[in-house]
Amino acid sequence: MTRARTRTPSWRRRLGFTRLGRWYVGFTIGVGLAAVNTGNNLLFLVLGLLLSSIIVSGILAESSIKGVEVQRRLPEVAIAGTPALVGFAVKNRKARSPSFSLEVRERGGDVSGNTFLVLLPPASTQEASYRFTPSRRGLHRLEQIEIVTRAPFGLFEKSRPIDAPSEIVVFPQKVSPPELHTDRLMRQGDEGTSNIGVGQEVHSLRDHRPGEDVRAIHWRTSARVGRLIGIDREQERRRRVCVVLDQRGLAGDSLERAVEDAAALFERELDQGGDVGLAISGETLPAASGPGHRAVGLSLLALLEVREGMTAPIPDPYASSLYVSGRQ
Amino acid sequence: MIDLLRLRRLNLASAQSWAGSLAVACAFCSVAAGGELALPIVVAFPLVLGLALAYGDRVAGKYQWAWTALLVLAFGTEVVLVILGSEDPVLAAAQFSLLLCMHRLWHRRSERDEHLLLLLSLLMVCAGAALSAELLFGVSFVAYAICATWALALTHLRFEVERRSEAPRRDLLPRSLLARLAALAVLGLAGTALLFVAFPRMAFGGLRRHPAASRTAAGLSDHCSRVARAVTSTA
Repeated sequence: MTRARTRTPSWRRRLGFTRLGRWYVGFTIGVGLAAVNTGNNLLFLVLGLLLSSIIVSGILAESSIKGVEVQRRLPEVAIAGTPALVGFAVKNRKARSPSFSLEVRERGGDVSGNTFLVLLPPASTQEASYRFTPSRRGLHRLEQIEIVTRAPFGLFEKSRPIDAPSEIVVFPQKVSPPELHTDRLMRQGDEGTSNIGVGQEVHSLRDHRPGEDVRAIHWRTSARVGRLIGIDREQERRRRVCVVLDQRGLAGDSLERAVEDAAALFERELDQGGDVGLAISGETLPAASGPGHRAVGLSLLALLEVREGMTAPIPDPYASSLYVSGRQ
Repeated sequence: MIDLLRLRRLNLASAQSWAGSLAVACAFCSVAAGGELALPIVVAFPLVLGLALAYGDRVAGKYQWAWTALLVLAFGTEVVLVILGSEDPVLAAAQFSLLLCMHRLWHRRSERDEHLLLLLSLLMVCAGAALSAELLFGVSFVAYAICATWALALTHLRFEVERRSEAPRRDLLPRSLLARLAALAVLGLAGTALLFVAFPRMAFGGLRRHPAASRTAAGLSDHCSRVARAVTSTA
């Protein structure tokens, strides 16, 4: 959640005409000219109504946006091409006066979106959200939140900007993992290590220790040698995969597709229960698993760039490597 | 109508529609108060208003060619009458704005239609101000100020909500909102009175309209005439 910090002075307002407002003001000027020209008292009365509506409109618009606070709630995960909800908690701090017709929208920054509240009762908070569909991966900056009202008549648009700088990392677009040839994919199952531990494969045989689980007895050997022989098993380690992406020489669409393929492979291997690492030019993510690791890996791919003088990726020597190349 | 009076089951759309119609009715009263409008229009307008409220949704957007032909014909007639000198230009403009308003009453579908309707009603009030100095104008004006405030605010709210809703909304209108809008209307009226009194009076006198009939009655005219001589007697 991002709390709106008010570095922008709280008195700052922006005022603009709506289309209706322009017509209304034009009409008021016309009636004013007619009243002054003819001296007709009743036209002065109509002019009074028109001017009074403008004044009342200004006062109520100010009362609507005054004392309203907004907190932005960013989504935990945002993926390019997939809608995500950005929430606003809108609070009316005024004790008696409600706020009408409030639009809360993003201003500046890379993200645009808005939401609308018909009525915000006094001393209350309402949740509202807008749908944001990022068109690209990477870092998206959010700058200001603008509280806008056209209340009560829709003649003018009055707004109050609030500084609420924030950032959101948009993960690469989800695509199907590429079909890899066998020479590229040296798939391996859970493999043993040379250490004694918990696993399926037999590491060595030794004399049975009193009190040990009977399931650890190797019955056939025990029968042959005439005493109880126990089994030590090999410690198994999880399947370990490293997704390798050399982005040097890639640009534009081919770079984006390569990143999307790498993300798809990274996620697929994690979903299948392996420890997955990532090797890209200039950076390496050691193999691991879990939601935190998934987020770190996808963030690394989301922020991937091509720069001059980058070094080649260094794959994990103890893992199967999945090489991703740019496709057309 | 009963729902309207009891404020039951009144949603934003129907409240806005009723408020707009009431504002137009008040504007009509203000322009009809002068008694200079042609009789067919005076009879037809309330009928059209009632029928449009009942059946307007069914014919909205239909028979546009017929309406256009009728309006062109009416405009031509008014222009000819003004050129021939048999009709006052202000009266002709008022009658034509009434015809335009009748047309718009049958075609209320979008926010733009509602705004045009309110603009036409405002034109009618201005025409009424130029045509009549009756007390009835004052009463109609006060009623118009209240209804038009409701109509303008509800139009804004209704279309803001509808613009942002994926499905048509039929939310019931909270009574508190109506009460606040009534308070807003009273505030507007107070402002009107204040500005009316405070606005400096000047008159350039160009294109000033002189009433045809010199009937003398108590009212809101900007002319003052002595109609009786007071006699004081001492015993």
